[in-house]
Amino acid sequence: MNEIKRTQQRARAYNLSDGIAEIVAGGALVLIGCVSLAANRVDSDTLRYLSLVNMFALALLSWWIVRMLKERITYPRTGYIRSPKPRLSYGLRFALNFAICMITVTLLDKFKGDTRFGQAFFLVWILMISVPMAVLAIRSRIPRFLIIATVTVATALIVTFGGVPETERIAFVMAIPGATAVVTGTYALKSYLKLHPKPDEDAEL
Amino acid sequence: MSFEFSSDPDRVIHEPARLKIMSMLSVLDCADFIYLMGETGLTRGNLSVQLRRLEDAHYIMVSKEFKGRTPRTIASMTQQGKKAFKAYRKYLARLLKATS
Repeated sequence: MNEIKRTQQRARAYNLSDGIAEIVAGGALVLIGCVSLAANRVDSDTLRYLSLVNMFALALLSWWIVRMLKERITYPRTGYIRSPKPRLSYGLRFALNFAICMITVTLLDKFKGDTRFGQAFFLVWILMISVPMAVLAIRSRIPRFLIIATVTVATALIVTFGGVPETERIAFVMAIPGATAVVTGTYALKSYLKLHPKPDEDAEL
Repeated sequence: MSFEFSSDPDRVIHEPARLKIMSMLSVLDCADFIYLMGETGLTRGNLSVQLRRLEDAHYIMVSKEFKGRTPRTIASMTQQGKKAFKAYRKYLARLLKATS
């Protein structure tokens, strides 16, 4: 039974093992964070709207980039799998994420002056991201996700209590863990490529 | 939960390589030949034989698709295969409980 469970665990974690999704998602977060920060520093409404559009565009583009990279790098080396469809459709999940973003922005705007509410809300939001990541790290047995979760929480605490302006906190909490994900993902990809050299052209039966 | 020691496990699934294939396909929508070869450690010929055995038992479905000019052999579990694997797991659980 243990052997069955181990085999299944490896299968579930396969799509995360090459580091490609991490690099792309991390890169997207760094970009979103930097554009957000620029929008705040320059104090431009145009840049703020652009950063919002940027967020959604990168979320969609990232999926395509990951798929393209996996077709070129991963699948010829260690094969292709397709995970079962998630219970919620992609459209519904997108709508849910959009709704959460809108609620977050609305609440933060409504309680703009209330520093304590802002801090608490922000930290709860960070935990909502970090805890599932930590759970993913434990379930998939990929410890580098714990590093990203830890960096996310640490960054959130530093920006919250370290005097960083409220309007810039999210930008930092995206950019720094994003950069961490790029680093850990690159390390994972290097290890993966070392372990699985490029196959022959006619590898498929 | 009683266990009949005279009962046999599903011999199609019970073989180690086929058990690994079924274990993987039970948590995936599908997997290709290269992935299955890497995970089972079997040679191409041997893996083809095991996949054919599972296909003959109607536990998996094997299809070929093309990604550009590269052919890809994909295996996925059928409903019958899912039921059989579930029954096999129950058999193992009862056996472990009876002998613990």
